[in-house]
Amino acid sequence: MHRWGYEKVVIFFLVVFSHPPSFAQNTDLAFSRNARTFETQQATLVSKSMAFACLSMLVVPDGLPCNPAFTPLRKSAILGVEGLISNGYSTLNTMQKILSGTVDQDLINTLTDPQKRVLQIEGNIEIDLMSQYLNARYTPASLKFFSVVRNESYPKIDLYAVQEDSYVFQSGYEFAKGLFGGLQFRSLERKFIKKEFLAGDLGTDAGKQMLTPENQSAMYFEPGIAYIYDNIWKPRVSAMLVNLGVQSGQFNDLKEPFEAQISLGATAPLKWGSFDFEVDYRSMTYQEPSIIERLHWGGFYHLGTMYLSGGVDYNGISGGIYYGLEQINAGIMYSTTQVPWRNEDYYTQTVYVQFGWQI
Amino acid sequence: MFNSVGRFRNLIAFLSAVSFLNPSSAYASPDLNGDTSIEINMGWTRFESSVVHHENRDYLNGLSYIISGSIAVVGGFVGQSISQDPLEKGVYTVFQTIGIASIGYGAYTWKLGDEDRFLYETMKNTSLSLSDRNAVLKSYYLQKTAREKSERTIKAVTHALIAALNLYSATQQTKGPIQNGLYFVGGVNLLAAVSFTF
Repeated sequence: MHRWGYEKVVIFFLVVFSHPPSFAQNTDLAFSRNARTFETQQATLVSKSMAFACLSMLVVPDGLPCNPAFTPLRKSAILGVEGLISNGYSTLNTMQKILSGTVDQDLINTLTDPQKRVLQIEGNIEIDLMSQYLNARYTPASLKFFSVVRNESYPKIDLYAVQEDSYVFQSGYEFAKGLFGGLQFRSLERKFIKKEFLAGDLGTDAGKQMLTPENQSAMYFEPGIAYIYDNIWKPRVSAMLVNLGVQSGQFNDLKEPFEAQISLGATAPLKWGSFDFEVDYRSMTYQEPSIIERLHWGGFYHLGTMYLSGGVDYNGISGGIYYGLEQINAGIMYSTTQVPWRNEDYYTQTVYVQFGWQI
Repeated sequence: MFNSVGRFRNLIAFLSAVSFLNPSSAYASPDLNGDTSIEINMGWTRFESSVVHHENRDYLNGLSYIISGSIAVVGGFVGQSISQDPLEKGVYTVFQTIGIASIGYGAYTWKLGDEDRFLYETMKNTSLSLSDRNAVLKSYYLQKTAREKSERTIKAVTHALIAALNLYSATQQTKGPIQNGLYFVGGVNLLAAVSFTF
């Protein structure tokens, strides 16, 4: 068992540290979207690197648990700040211009630049408070942006830009031995644009009007439940109902429908550290047509201050490493849409970094 | 970059909402292994077996921190040599910093341990009777409880002062991003002060 654990360490380590040197590795031909950034999803670096397979995670080291039912498992309180950003941060100005409704020639040039056919960025800052009774998160700003120019001869632009600030409150209770229930309250306000249009349209006033951002607010009550079997491997089943609540407006461009999520997980106890693995059934875009596209597989090896994590799903593969000791923590992860089961010439590779400070 | 007034209002609302929180005494790494602290009325025999258990745990934990810290230091050099982006290089530098701190923390945990281990080592080779040892233990834990309470008060005041200073500086600042940063630091410290108050 121990040999198996060390092999995992080596494999994850190689995956994380052997990625291509360039931070902005979006190839010139990349037409696909980032494998770990989705318009309405917010997750920590470790959760992302596990392909969002986090519903059965007993503890998320860099943020709130994905399932509020696990709230009582935390025995000590933590207050912290986490900041995450992906490569492509030079496009932040472009995103800011779009969301402020400033459509000028400079913006048009950026969006239609044949040398930069794909622009994308994700970043957020969050204040997390986690304790045995209550978890809370305030996100002053969460930014996501994606823009791609398709068809060089008759250029068509597909873009989304989402700026969101949100609160999350979680609480949970152990109703019987191993049976946990919890509730998450989520409130958000977002400004967004999600459009597909011809590049030539930007030359007209009507075309520029298309880039007027929409505003939306929402409140959700999301119950979760989990059962941990009494076994040294802690096998567990976990479920959650998400997006159960009200929205200020219904937009066909950006949907956040009600969904039931379910997850299985276990923790392999090793002499040196532990290995967690999970599989989740959940949607990222709420448009995946098949069950297989909603399955997410992930795991992490934890030893001392180190979390080595990896995940795979239909969208791609990811791997990351996260270190946290007392006040300071940091992590880096790498994701790619280049997967063996999709024989595509175009793919996107992304690096995320995260820094945190806890008191 | 952002609407700072709106953000600050939101932050205050957030702080108010969580002000009833009553966190446990330590702000530290996640501890999911259950509370292994020693009770006030614990006798010497139970104290001794508890400390021996702690020593075994400290050995494994200490070495785990040393191994993971060493990987961070070595991996950081590798990462820095292959990356070109300043942010990415920054992460590897932080990894190495955490790695070295982790090695030190691991060595401390393994070789020295906590105050309970220190007390046990001090008392076990004395000629004190069992009842004397029990009496010392009881006094020790009463003092420890009182000390923790004072510590929380001092921390609450310190964080409150830092919060006040940053929030005041934010109101005097005109540059948006700096102002937001000051509000942010102030808000976090205010939340910490509130947490330590209870």
